[in-house]
Amino acid sequence: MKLIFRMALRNVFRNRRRSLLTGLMMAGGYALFALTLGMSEGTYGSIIDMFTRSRTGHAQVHAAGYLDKPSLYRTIDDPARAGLVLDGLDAVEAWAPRVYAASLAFAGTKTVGAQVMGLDPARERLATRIATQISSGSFIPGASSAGVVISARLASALAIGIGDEFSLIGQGADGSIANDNFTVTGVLSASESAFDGPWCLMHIDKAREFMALGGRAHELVLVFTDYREAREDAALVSAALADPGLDVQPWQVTEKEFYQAMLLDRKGGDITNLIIMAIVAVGVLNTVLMAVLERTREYGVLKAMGTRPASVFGLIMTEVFLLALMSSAAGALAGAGLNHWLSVSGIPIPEPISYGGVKFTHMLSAVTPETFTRPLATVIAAALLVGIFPAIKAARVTPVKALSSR
Amino acid sequence: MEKDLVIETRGVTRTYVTGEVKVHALHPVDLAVRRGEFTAVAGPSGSGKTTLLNIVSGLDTPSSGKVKLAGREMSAMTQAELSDFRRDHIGFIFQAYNLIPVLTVEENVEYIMLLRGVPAGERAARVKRMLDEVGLSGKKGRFPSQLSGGQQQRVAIARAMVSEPDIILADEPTANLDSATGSALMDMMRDLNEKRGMTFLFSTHDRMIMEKSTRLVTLKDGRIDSDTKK
Repeated sequence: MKLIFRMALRNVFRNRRRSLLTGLMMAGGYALFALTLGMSEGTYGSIIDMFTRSRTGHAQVHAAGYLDKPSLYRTIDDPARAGLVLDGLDAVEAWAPRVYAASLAFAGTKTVGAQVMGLDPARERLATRIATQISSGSFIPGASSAGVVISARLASALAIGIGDEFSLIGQGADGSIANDNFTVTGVLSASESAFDGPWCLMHIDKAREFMALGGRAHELVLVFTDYREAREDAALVSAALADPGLDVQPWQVTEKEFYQAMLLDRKGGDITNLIIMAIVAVGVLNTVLMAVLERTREYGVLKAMGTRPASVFGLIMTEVFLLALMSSAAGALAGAGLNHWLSVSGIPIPEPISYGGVKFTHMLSAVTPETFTRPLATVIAAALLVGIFPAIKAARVTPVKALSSR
Repeated sequence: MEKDLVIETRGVTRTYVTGEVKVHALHPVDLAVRRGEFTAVAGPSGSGKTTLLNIVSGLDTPSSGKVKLAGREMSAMTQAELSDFRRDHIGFIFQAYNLIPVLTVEENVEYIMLLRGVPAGERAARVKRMLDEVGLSGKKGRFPSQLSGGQQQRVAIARAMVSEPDIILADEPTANLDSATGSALMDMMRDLNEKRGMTFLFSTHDRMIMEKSTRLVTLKDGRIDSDTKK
């Protein structure tokens, strides 16, 4: 009813100072909520980018079952065909094939278990930042070279460095014994690398030859144009590959522990937001309750004239909704402004973090649709929720008592 | 029941209980008001005038007895039915005007017709006619706080009459006005009563209202003391 709407709107401006204070409280709550969300989105965005770009990518393709039980024999038999499909997808920014094997590494009198990873240096540079994680020496040379990059831990375990030779013994996919000598051309950083185990990285062709894998691969790492779309894009890739023997999973699945730790941390942020909204809700409750108590006589007149309780209830709820909406508009402006400013300048971290070849110096915010929609929905829902009690109180006013009140 | 009876009360009593104290506000009251009457219910404070009006309007319920308004037995109605019944059959004029402060003069008068679902065109025409009749067409866009007490009561009269209810109940309508304004308003209501044949029932202890009414019912200690037609 238009008149009820008009009455509600005018009631909002009736006690301007009170409405302004409540509106500021709600707008402040909105802006704070938007800011915490923006900082969370921005910071997690940076962390996810740092994490996924350091090694895992936004999604990975494996042979079915490989993720649960990795095995030398569970391979993608035709990675070239899959590559052609991936090249045809707009969502896929880059992809790179990899192979993995377990082996024993020998240098002098020292022996240690080592993980071999074969990768395509050119493709890998487009997809991940592994090449930037070298602390000394250079990245993997060409396929014909015996040069490899090893992790700091493997270098320490074998007591070898740049230019030193060592041997690897493993098992070939054809049942043969894999055995070859390699030269260290680069060592991965001990503190900033995503490879903290005893890793040995070599050209994929060399690794395939070593493992007798032919043209097969264990993994295709994918990087999408937008990491936030990883789940949807992974499903898109899966549909495009149309191969039940292949399993495409986003980083949330391939790096389940990291993702769950992140979700848990976000829950902490949600509790903070809940507290903000509870404070806002108490303020709104106080304002609406005061207004209802002051206007008891008016509600009595409305009911005496034949206004239904539901209409009185609707009047209060519309008033609360309008106040929440106007406050949200102000809060959205403030929140978006703050988030935009912090997405550009950020908050400096006293001790910058380096990981996966990236230096993390500022906590950056982000302006995403969620930084608008969630505070809006929460502020309005909280206001309406606390508005219910005063609205019921007004709707239940007994005209004869209300009319005799002062 | 006679066809032109608008109000009929039979043995209506009202007892208020506060703790162990019982106050008999109305002893059995029998009252019949016919269509077109301009009746004043008079009596000193505490005589039961307002209680009687509240019961007749369905705002309060009698402790015993029956009330019929416009031929309908009110004690059998639910709260929702009573609410609709008031909307459709009763116009109220209050001592303190009780206009809705956030509605303009025009909207205050229009409100009851919105509740009754009167079409927009007809609403506008009726509001215009009523405001012309109470002499406030020039102030239709003003809010109650921008009007004098007399002007506010005129708006209240227009609001009560615009939907042409069966009866207009006015509780001490001149109590907050000076005597000249009160008298002018009473003349205006009497004029509307004569022109439109609308039924009025006032509660009052204002001698001027008693003189201008066509029927005077006096209450004393919750009982009808006299009933005089002029």
